[in-house]
Amino acid sequence: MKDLTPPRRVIRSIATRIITVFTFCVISVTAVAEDEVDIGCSSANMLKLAAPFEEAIVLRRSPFPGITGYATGEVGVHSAQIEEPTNDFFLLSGSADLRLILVAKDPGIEVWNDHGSAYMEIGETFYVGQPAFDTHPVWNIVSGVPGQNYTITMRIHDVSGTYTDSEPFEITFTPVAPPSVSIALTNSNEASVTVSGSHGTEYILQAANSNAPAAAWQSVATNTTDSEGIWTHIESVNGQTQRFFRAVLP
Amino acid sequence: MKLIVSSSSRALRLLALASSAIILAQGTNASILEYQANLTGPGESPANGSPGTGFADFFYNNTAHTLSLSVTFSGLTGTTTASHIHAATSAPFTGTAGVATTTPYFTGFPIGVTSGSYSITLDLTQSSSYNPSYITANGGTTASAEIALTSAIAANEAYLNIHTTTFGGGEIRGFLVAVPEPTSLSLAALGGLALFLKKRRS
Repeated sequence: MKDLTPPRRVIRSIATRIITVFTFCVISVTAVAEDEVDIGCSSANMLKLAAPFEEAIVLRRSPFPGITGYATGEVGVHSAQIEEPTNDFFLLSGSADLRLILVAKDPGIEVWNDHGSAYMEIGETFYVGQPAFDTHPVWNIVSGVPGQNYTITMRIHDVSGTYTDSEPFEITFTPVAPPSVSIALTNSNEASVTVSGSHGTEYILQAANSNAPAAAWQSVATNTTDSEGIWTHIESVNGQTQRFFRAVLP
Repeated sequence: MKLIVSSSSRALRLLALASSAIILAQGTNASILEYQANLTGPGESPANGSPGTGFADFFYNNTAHTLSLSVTFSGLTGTTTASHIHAATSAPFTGTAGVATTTPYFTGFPIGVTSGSYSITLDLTQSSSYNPSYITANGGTTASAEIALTSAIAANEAYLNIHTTTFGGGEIRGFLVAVPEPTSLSLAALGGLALFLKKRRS
């Protein structure tokens, strides 16, 4: 499934050379994120996360049939494998038997229940189980605006009674921003091509010698945007009369 | 075969010993070890009634330090969300363990499908082949992580599973089981036959 936005063209000339930049974006259905919910406990036997989420997790278009909008199952819920005593964080006992409890959700975002049959309701539990566990809820921005944040609030509960509930914790998501491309000629032989989009998101920069429908687009660089949502590629333009660029999601 | 039948008891014993010795030698020096896993819902923890099935073939090259994986699966009730190798359980063929391999899932693994196939070769010298927590929890280097992972695999304490939208904790899984090398199998059969014939003659 691909979303195309209207192309944006910038034409610049230098001497007899013309560099043409042509950009448009493609929303892909695949995604890879690094975030996960690692659960352990404190020395006072309270459930806790290894670390809070510090920035919004970028969600791409849902790859799941029947689940619309932006979604991922990548943000897994794991029993921690590493203790951090200096942070009062310890591994769970094997006797624990955990559930996630949905505390709150912003309008527009949902998390699917542990059977994947419906959205979770406030107060509903999601089965996690006994350590070692690794479960992958489906997080879903059903309708959202790129750049806007959507937060789910949960807490962790132990039905075995070994641990007390965690403090509520938040996971914030944001819909992936369509990539855009801008170009600046840094000198007569080089162009600086900047890809802009969501932070921490991998985009592919492609180039072609024409923007005809049958143009042969070739990937020239793949990189992940920084915390500002950009990355820059330096392209040699020596001897070329025109060059088109676009950015796509992998 | 005729040679064995016409051999003396001593010769048969020597043949059996030689076969065993060769098998042992291969076991200690083998550079490629094969493992397989049959993935099912009842094989999950907790077990479930999914009709989904899968089959995975693994080749561990202990010289190149690579682990090649090919998996096919079908009949899942939900669509795929992730897949990993987990290790090590506290006992063979049972229990659960943390994620050992790449998170959130193997690079390029098909997501959002109920059936499919996938293959990858993990370079076990690269940290990208592991869950970062697994490396830290197992010596802190890729070399120590490789030893931990392959030891767990050899001990039947590692499993591959596939997570789906309907079974967030995993819809199908299977423990990795060693596949004897064809030559080892032949030699073992030969040794066994020799011992059998020796016993009959005595």
